[in-house]
Amino acid sequence: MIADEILVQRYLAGERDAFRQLVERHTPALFNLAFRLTRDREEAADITQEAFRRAFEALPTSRTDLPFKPWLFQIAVNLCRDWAKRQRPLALADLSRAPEEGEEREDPAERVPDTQPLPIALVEAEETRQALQLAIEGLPPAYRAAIVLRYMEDMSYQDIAVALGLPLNTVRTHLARAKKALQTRLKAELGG
Amino acid sequence: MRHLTPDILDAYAEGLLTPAERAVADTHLAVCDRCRLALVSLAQMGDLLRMQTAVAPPPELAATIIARLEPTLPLPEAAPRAVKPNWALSLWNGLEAVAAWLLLIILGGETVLAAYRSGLGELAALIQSQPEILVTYPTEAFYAVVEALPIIELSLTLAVLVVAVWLMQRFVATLPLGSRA
Repeated sequence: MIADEILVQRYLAGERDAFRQLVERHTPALFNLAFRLTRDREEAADITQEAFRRAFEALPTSRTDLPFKPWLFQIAVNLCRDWAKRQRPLALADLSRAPEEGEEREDPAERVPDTQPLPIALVEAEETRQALQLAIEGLPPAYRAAIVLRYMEDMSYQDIAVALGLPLNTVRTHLARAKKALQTRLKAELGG
Repeated sequence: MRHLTPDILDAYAEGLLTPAERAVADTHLAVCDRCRLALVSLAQMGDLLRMQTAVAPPPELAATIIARLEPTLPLPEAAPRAVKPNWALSLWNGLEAVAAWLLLIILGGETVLAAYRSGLGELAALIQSQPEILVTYPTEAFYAVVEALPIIELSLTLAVLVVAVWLMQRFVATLPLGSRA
């Protein structure tokens, strides 16, 4: 597969096909992220298109030696932030920061240290997959975005930090806390 | 016993600890069932998350985006990129051009002096005072002028003139202002 950065160079050299390849390659991931953050398919599609528009309009005057994907996702995340502000201007929990202790939706089970793995039978069950899906949707947006980028897009912590515009250590903390919250909710849901 | 923090456990599971940090964590994990189970649990959560399927976009979304954006985007037609000025090259080309023009001035002066030394000046004065010579003895007058010309100096001067003009054009082309479209 041709690297994104090579396709960007080709686009800048006037190759229209490079533009099409980049759009086709990143549309599913951008849409998935936008949908996970907005929970609205139409909004997610609009955000995906707008992210591409802004990215390609900016490319001729941008640094092309930096990785393309985290930069593209950063644009999409910022669009999701703008969308969230329009939807809920007074919301406390947004993509810009992690929830403070106690600000998250209260779940007494989360306070208990979680040390027990799930039984193998449960790990492989469709019920578990669906319960995890719901648990991810219940995460604060900042945690949800980090989880999607790490485990569905397989992005490095460094690239996630670029995409979310957060310090690397904050990304590490977000992911650790997000997984702990997911474990707790999953067990509560499955009765494990 | 002081247990490993969730951040450390997560970094361990993700392979992000330094060798030194990992060694410390391993020492604790060897004697702590609770942290060992928590680590297994975290790794299991990572595996479960990787098994999650992405939400698929509408099948025609990419094609729609391409169709909408392609006509409006400033798709560059071999877009001119800013060229980084190469000052060293410009300076070198400038020095070459200056040297060529100095050589041209010296050779030009030498050619004029050689022409006077060979009697071209006297011939010109004679023709100026008696212009009818050109009508009466045109062939002789022509050969006399040709013989008086410093052919070698003149040829060298013309050759250096061509080189000097070419070097000047090359110098101007390497100037930063001249290289931007």
